[in-house]
Amino acid sequence: MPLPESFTPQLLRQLELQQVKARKAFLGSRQGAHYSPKRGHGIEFSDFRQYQPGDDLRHIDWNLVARSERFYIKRFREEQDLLVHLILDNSASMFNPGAAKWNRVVELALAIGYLSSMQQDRLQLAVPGHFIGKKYSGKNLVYKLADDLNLVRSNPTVTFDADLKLSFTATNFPGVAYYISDFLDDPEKIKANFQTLLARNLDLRVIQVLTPEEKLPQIGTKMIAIDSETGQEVPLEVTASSLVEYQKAFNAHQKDWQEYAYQRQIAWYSCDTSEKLADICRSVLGVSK
Amino acid sequence: MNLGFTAPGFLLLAFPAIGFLIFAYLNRGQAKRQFVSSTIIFKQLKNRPNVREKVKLPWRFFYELLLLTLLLLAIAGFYWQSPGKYWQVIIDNSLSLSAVADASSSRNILALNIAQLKNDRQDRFKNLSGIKVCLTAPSFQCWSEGFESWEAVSSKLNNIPAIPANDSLESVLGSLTIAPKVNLTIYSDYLSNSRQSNNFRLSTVRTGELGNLAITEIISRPNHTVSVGIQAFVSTPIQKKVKLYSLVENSKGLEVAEIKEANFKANPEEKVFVDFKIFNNIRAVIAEIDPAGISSAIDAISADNISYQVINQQVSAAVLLVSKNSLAESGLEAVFPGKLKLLSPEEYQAVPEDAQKYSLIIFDNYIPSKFPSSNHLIVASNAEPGVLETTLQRSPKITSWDKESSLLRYLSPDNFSFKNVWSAKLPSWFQPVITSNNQTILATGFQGPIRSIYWGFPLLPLEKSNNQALAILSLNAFKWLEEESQSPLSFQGETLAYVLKDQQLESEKINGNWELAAGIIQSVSENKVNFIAKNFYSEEESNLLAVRKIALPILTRNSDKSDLINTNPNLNQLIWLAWLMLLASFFIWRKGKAKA
Repeated sequence: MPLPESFTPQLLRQLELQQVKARKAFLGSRQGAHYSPKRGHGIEFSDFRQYQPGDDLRHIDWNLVARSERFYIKRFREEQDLLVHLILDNSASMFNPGAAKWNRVVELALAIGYLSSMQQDRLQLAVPGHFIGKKYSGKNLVYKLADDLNLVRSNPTVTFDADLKLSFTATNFPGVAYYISDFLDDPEKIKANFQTLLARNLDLRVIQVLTPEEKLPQIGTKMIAIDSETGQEVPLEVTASSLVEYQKAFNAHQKDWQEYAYQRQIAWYSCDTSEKLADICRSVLGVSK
Repeated sequence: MNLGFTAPGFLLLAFPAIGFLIFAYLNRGQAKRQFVSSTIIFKQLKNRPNVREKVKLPWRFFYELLLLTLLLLAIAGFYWQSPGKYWQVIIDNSLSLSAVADASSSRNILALNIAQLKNDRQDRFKNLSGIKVCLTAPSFQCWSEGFESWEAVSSKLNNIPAIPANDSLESVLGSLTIAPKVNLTIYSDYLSNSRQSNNFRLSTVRTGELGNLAITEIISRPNHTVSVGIQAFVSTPIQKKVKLYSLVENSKGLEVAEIKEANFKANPEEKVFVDFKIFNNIRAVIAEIDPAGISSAIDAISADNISYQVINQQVSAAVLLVSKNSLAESGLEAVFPGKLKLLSPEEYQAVPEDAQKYSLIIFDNYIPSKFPSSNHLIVASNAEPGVLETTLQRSPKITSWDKESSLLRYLSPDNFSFKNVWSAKLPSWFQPVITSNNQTILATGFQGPIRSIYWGFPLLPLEKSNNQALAILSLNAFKWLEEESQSPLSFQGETLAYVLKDQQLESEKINGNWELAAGIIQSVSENKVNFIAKNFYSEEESNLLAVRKIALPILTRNSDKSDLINTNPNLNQLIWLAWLMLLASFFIWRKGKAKA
């Protein structure tokens, strides 16, 4: 499947100038572009270690032997690949009131996939109900990912939390995790999910995707708001003052999450579907090379 | 303040409309079920508006209710008038109102009616808030849409002319709808034959019969002769004088070349023709009844004492055959080569006035509804009744034979053996030529200068006739019909009627829609000068012998609607206001939505 139309040559060029950089070193499975905690071959000097029988004599620092009359081995930081985890929320709220939110999630996922592909990183996808820990790597990573995401539909019957846990049970290598959702669910459930991810020693990055209507709903007189996931009905009498009240509640909700994320070193980004994809990628994904 | 509706029936629309509006409003007020991605934020809201919002009126409902009310009022024709007395006046100013009311007065009926109107204003409408004046001539028209002050109207009342009207007062009133509340007075020369009320009456100063003389027409004849038709609408025989002004064309236009006069006698309600010989080069004539010695008792209207006529260029003679058969079948083409024209009876009925263009008309098996104003031969065998009624005689026997008649030259009764003949009762001016069983079957007559022959047996087809006596008789008849013409069948003229006096020209200034005054009008087109005579004779206007009565318009009960009073001056404003409000509500709605 081709990439979405929003992936213009300009956007791809912009993405090529960016990179996903983990805030801490993760062990990789093969050589790559990220510093690894593993010592071995590399360019950047790490430390010295006393020679032990069996060490390669070529690694002995002879200058140090001359000065100290002891044998030390010179060690370097190894550069390995990174495992990028993608956790996408495909609950009913992502498909309501239209598919705009899910489309933006897919675009962001593909952008992350493209970056991973460029850095020769591996990518592991978790879409509850559809993919549990499916891995992608290689040059065609982004296209395979696009094909798979095209199959994803809203599945309200899926148990998101259980699938999320299952997805990380088999994960041997921690890495950078992008968790994309609207985060308008029960906060306790979301926090439990965060705990699951943080327990895996992931560099967790959260991208909250909202619609403009969720930030400020349209004026009506009377309405019954029906939760797209739970079906719960909330009767409302929306007036100008209740809209102000909504804004206050929404801002408080956002602020709570941001503080929560800050305390747990979770990178929190929020965007809405009306923003340009290039702008979101610039601010949310990685840093410039 | 008088309030009302011109079409109150439309107010019934209010019930379904308001019902619909309430339904729409309630429906709009019902909670709309809407899926949202999450209700987590909505749950934190207070679900009820605060007190201030609770008592806030549903302004949009009332706004739309107001808008609907305005539209309904406009449809129902809402009107209001400030309190006061309003007076609607219809002044009949048709020509008959120019008649002098009685011999003792020199003022005409219209002037006396106007004086009566002013008296009525003093007596009955002292506290007059507004008056609306409508005239009947030249066509029914009011001076203003609404009511005017008495001061604005009174000065114009003295300048109303009596002029020919396109519609009679009877037809005008018949088409009007008048509400009972309207103060309406009609000033006319009609008498009312229906009950009158205080606020609805017909006023007239005329009380009885009036005599009048009128020139009805001027006919130009073939032998340089014009016949002036004079109708005497009088109750006693009169003898008066008529003048004929002959006009020639020169560089200045038309100029009087000769004035002739002749006496005429007329019995009550008789129409007489006075013949005048004119020169070859006369272009127009004006006939006028000499006013000298004529009292208003026998001639109440002077305006119809003059008539105009244009003498057109010399044309070749023409004979008209009115027949159901073709020209070839008639066999008359050999008698009138190149002069004969055929019309069917239906075509002739459609344009009977065209008959004046022909010097001879032959009616074949057809009796016209009136005698034409040209010489004519009526062959009445087996024809439907018209101006004459015929009776069939089988195996007739000739009982009298006028040897002196030029029609019977070279003929004797032995030459004829009729199978069937049709006799007729003829007017007194016919002379019997042949009678059968003492009933006229052939007769000749003079009606002024017009020659007539009644022919009660088949004439056509002429060529196929085996009876040579019939052929000789017919040729004798045609010769007699053309006998007086030096240049037979050589002129063609137009018949015109009544004339307008100078005073009627004022009507142009008042109404602005009077096309042309009567007279001879010179027109130039493509460097060719044409003259047109225009007259406005109407027997209805000139005949004052009959005292006409009229029924007042029917009052429309249970209704405020009146055609006369413009009670609905606010209709347009209401509609415009409603539309503006509708537009404003649309923009407010759009703005509100955009803001949201």
